[in-house]
Formats: sequence, C-alpha cells, structure tokens
Amino acid sequence: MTDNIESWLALSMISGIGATRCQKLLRHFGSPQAILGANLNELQHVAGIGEYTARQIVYSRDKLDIQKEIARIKKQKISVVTFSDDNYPANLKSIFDPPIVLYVKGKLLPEDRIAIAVVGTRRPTTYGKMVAEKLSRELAEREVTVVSGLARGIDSSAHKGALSCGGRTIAVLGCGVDICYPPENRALFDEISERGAVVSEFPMGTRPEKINFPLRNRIISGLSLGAVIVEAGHRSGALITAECALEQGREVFAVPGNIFNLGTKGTHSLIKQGAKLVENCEDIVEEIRCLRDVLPVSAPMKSVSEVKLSPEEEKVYNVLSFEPVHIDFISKQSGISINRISPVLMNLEIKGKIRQVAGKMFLRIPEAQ
Amino acid sequence: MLSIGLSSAVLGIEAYPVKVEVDISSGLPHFSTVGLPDTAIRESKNRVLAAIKNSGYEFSMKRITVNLAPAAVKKEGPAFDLPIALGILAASGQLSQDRLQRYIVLGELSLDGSVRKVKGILPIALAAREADVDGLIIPERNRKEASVVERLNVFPVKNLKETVDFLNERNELSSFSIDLEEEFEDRRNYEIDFADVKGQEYAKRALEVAASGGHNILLIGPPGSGKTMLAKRLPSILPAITLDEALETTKIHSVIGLISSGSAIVGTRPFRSPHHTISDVALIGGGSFPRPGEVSLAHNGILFLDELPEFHRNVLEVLRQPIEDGVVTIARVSTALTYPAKFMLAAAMNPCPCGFYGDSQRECTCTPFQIQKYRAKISGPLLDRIDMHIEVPPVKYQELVGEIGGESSLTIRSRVQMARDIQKGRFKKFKSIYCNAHMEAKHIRKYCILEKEAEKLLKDAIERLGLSARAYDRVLKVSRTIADLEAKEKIGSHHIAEAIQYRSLDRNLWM
Repeated sequence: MTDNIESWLALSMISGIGATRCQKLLRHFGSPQAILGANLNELQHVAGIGEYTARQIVYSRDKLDIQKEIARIKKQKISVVTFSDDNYPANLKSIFDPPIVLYVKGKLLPEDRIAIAVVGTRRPTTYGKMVAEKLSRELAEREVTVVSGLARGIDSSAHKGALSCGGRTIAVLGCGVDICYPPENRALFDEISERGAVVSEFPMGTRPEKINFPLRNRIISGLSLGAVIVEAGHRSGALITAECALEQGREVFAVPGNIFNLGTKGTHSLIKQGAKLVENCEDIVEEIRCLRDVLPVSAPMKSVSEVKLSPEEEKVYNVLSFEPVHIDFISKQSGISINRISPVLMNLEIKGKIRQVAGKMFLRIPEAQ
Repeated sequence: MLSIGLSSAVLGIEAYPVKVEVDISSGLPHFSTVGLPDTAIRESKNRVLAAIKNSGYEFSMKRITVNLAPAAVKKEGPAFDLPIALGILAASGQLSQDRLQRYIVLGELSLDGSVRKVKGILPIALAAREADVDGLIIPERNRKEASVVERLNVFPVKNLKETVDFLNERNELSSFSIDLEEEFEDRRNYEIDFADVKGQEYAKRALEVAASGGHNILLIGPPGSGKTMLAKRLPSILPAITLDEALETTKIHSVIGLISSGSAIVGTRPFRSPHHTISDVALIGGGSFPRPGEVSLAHNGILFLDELPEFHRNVLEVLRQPIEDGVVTIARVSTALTYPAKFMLAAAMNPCPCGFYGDSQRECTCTPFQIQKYRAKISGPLLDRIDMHIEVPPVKYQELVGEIGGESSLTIRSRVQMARDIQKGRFKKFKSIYCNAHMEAKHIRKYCILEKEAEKLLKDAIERLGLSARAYDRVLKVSRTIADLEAKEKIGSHHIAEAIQYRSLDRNLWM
C-alpha cells in the first residue's frame, strides 16, 4: 500500500507532466509503477508524449526523494488520497484533468459529494461579504459542503459562513497544504482542517505561485455540483472557476450587485450569458436535482424571536438600508440629534438588527428567512 | 584697561546673568573670546570690529580678551555682540564704565552698526526685573516681547551709536511699555472658526467632547476628508487661554525666537503641527545646546501629529512620558532641564496606506497584511493614552448632509467652558488633575458612578460588540465628560453609548 502511494506521489511530482499527461500515461500503462518502470522508448510511443517529455520523465524520476516527502507528510499529519483510492472525491474523478493525488489536511467524507463552491473577488464590498456568509451559512445548514479557495475576501467569508453554523467546508489551496496563504487566514486554516478539509494537489512546500491558482480553480469547481460567484470584477479569478465549472458540466450561479460598482462587472456578465441569478439558497437547491432529492424540502429554520423596537429605534431602522450610510446622514434623516443618536444605534446593534462597519457607517443585517 | 558689562543668557526656559568682561592690553594684535563660546560668538569679533569702525568710533588693534562669565557654562548665539562692542568701547575709554554696569544689554550687530533681533528676550526680561539694574537694553524689534514684563525699564535701541550715546548721556531714550491687558485682549481671536466646517456633525460633536474633557484624540479618515481642517479648529473651542498660561507659553516661544516683532504675547492656544519626518530631539527637546521641542511649544495648546503611523517609531515612543507628566526633563551630565509640556494630543491617520479602506467611492488597493502593518506602527502603550477615536467620513457624505453655517466656535466654547468648570470643582484637591482625561483608576472608581441601566448597557456592549477590556476605563472617562456637558451627576446609558462610539479601533471594525 505504502509502496503504491510512493509511486503515485512520485508520478505526481515528476516535473514537466501535469494532470492531463498523467491521465494519458495511466491509460496506456495501467499503473503508476508501470510508468515509473518504463524505458525511454516505451514512453516515447505513448500518444501525446514526445521525445522531450519522455526524456524529462526519465531524467527527473531518478532524482525524486520520495522518502523525504513521505516523512514530511507523516510529520504534519497529512493524508494523501490517490486517484485509485475509493475515497477519491467522486465529483472530481469525472472531470477531464483530475489531479492524480490530493494532499488532505483534515478529512474528506462521502457526504462531501453534495458540495457547492462559493467564490469571488479578493476585494469585496461589505455587501459581498455579507452575501457570501449568508449563502454559505444557509447551504451549510442544509448539510451542503461549501467549497472555496481560502483566499482573501469572498472566499474567507464563505468558509466563515459555513463554519459559523457548524457546517462542513473544504478549502482548496494553490500551494502546499503545509503553507497557509494568505498568512492572516491562519486561524481559519486551522479551523477548516479540524472541521472540514484543506486540500491541494501541489507537493509539500510548494509556494503560492501565480500559475497555481487557475489550476486550483478547476479543483474547486470539480469538487462541487455548482459554483456560486458572489462578486467578481471583469478579470477576476473567480471567472476562471466559472469557466471550469461550465467545462466540467457543473451549474454556474451568480449573485447580482450594484451596477455602479465595478466589482460586479464579472458576475453581471455571467448572468447575461445565462448563469442563474441567485438571491437565496433556494435558488441554488432548486437547480440541482440531487440537492432536491437528498435534502429535506424545508431547511431547518432557526426560530427567530421577534425583537421589539422602541419608536426611536424604529425610526432609525427605517432610515437604514443594506448599503452602509454614515452616522451624520442617519441623524439628519431621522431627525434625532447627533448627541442622541448613539444610544439608539447601539441598542439596535446589540439587538442584532444593524451592524457597524469602518468609518462610522451603519447598515441593516438581513432578516433570516 | 578692563571693562565689565552685564548681559544674560537662557538655560532651559530660565535666564541667568552673564558678565561680559573685556580687557585691552598692549601687545601683538590679537582677539580672543573665552567662556565656552560657540561658533556664532567666536565670529562676533568680526561683526563687532566692523560695527565699531562703521559707527565712527576709534579702534586700534591691540591684545583684546573677552571673557563671558560664568566661564563653565556653554554659551551660544550672537546676542553678546552688542555687550562685547560696548565693553571694547568702555575699555578703550570711549564709554562711561559706570553707566555700562547699570544695564543688562543684548543684541546682535550688523556690520554697519545696526542692532538685530535676538532670541529668548522674555525669560531674560523676567530675570532682569529681579536683578539690581536700571534697565534692559535690547534690539528695537524685541521691544514688545520684553515690555510684557511690568516694572522693568526697557530701552529699545536701533544701532550701536544710539546705545553709546545713551550710555554717555548724550541723548535720552524713553523706556518702552505697553498695556499688557489690552495687548492680550487684542490677540485672543482665532482666525478660523468651526462655523466654516460644512456638515461633519458627528466629528464636531466628538471634538467638543474631547475639548471638554481634555481627551487625546485620533482622527481616522481618507485623504481629503477634513481631518486637518477639523484639528486646526480645535484650539478655538478650548477654554480661552488665561494670562498666566499665555505668559508660560510665550516664554517657551521666546526661547526659540518664535515671537514676531509685532507681537508681545501669544494670545491664543498654540497649534503645533510638526511634519512626520521630525526627529525625537526636535519633538521632545534637547540637543547639545538644549532647546524646547514641539511638545513644549504646544504647551497649553494642541500638538497635532498628522499621518501618525508615518512618524518614526522611536519618536512616538518618547512622546509617552510628556503625555503622562506634562513636563519634559532633559538630563545632561552637568545639569537637568525641565520644559513644561502640557498639551492635548490630536493625531490623524488614514485607515490604510492607500487611504481608501471602507470608502464606497474609491477602491482600496491595500492587502490586509499591509493594513495590519500600518496600524501596528502605533504601539499599544501610545494608543492607550488616546481616549477617543474619531472617524471622519469621505467627502461624499459631507456633500449630502452638509450645510454651511453650523455653530460658531464661541458657542461651542461656552459649553466646553461649563464642563471644564464642573471638572475644576471636582478635582480642586488634586494638584496634577484639572480635567477628566487625567483621572487615574482610583479617581475613575470614585467619580464615574453609573446608573443601573448604564451599567447593564456597558456590560452588554463588552459582551456583544467585541469591545476590548482595554477600552473599559477610557469609555468611563469619556462618558464622564459627556455627562458633564449635560451637567449630570451620574452617568446615564446614553452617555455610555456615545462614549462607546468613540472607541472604534477597539472593535475590530477596521480589520
């Protein structure tokens, strides 16, 4: 068995061949051991592998230090799932270029088959972050696994939303699973590896290079039944995920935003091209047959006790919307003087009706549906 | 022949008498100055000799020795030019020796014999009043500054010839005096006013609270949002400066030579805004000839540090001690000097390096790591000394809700004054406390009594809004001030609620 893993790892670490060529070689030779044992001539005659690549395989396979990699994996309590394993994610297996090994920190479960990807820009608006958190929480409450990329912005919000209600979430990295990138997501990284899984196809110690991330995106969509793009500018990496999802035959969803905000150009163009517009979790569930079949029709509702508001609080609450507004504006619109408005806002905050964001701006928290 | 004249110099912000002794004896032509002079004094021989010649006096080069006593103290500056010139003239028999010893003389000489302005006149004049002399002879352009001191004869002079004639009783100089009260009244108006600020109701209210309790503040907002404009108007709502305070501040400004020749006294609270490249010595004071730093120049006023995170870290760290003690002590091997530095700190910063974090109009291009690094430049201990964080919104909101012609500074100041009066009564028996900002833990427990509801609210806020424990005492202090503005004995829940709004950096809203 370990022998087996070793050869899978060795195959994955040979430089010059990616997932696609690996698949070609596997179809031809049948097993990774056979590939590693083949001579130059045999390799050269595989369709799609030229002389140059064959030489590279022969050259680099002898230089690999698999034992070192195995030691690192053991030390960091990381498991390796190979393409031939039973617990290799079924969704991922069916894509055109599945990774031949997955490094996993945490656990992949069979339930993770029911997964939705939630991705978006690294520079979100407050609105975007709120939407990502809300959608992921609602999905997780319906026992859907939320897949995302642990990046700054929307990705982080998506993971947080799923974790906030004790749901499962998978983070797919563009670097080795022993590296936390971005570094400020350390706490989130640890929580996910404990309560979900952090996954990567890249060998231990791989730096978060630019070119890794588009590759990583195909795994995000590949693990999921559909991908929700929350906020994306016209050249956002989230659009690559959407493209991958389409190629892999997965559903693509997009959340609309403010048309004046440049950060919604990407999502809006997706909608124009036919992506489904998402307002709430039901929009997603409705579209994916197996979600409908598997999940209880009405999701578990949290009982929301109606909070009583005083007349003043009511007045202020009515001035607020889901777009943040400044305290001066609230005071002006509600007619409550600036030195009297603080207690009203604070009580609303404590009651969980509104939220304060940077710059003395306030906005409503959407009601649970 | 030997002559002895009197002059004076400044050490710290106090003056001490200096005797200028000149000896002319026959020998090879030579001019030497002793008594630890700096370069400016050593060069004075060239100015002095030229001025004497060009004023029409006789001079034949002999062996001249000038001694500035006490010889063990370092002296600096060109203010000894005039007394040295007079000493040479007296030693060469062209001037009455007796009359020379009755006056303290200061002034820099031009080559043509005219007398130029010097620094440190006010402390010197104060010391001169106590000395047993007939008066103080000073450059004409320093006359107003010196005349602040009452019961002292001040004789302004234009040039060397006029001075010599006066001392030889060939002409009469009238002593110069002003009506100090009137002069002070004339200078008490601020040129800028809060009525000029459009909108910004929240920030204005926050500044009113800060001024009422003497709380140090940090203004946070994107570039161009008006942080500097607001801070500049802060002195105009502080309680009017008293004559005693004005004299203290004027004294420090005089040492640096900041008093313009047209003015006698600093009639408004100073507003000092050093650039962020300032060194620690320039901020705190010191140097080989110790001089007061920006913190002392801001004495009784505002020290405004724009772009706070851009200041060098060691500069910000040395700021902690004067904030706490109200004085700066500079220790030297030979002596320790104390400069007063009782100021209110107003600092300003952008929310992130690019300045647009949280702005809905402009996109912020900073990574969270950059933002974190930027914020971390302000150390915890310094942040602990800042009671209020005031967020200033980007311009868009000012345009939406702004109206020209809010309250004038005078109206706001009257409320501030009332709150300060309450505090004065409260802290009568404590020597070092005169406003709420200076309360320590035991005073907070004694004077910040909360109503029941307020207590519950504070507890809720700490639990539910993620307020750090560090904020607790500061919230109490600021809420005490807000209650004082309403002349309330106990602190109510709306006072607490408002005070909590001024602690935004404790709430992780900015991350």
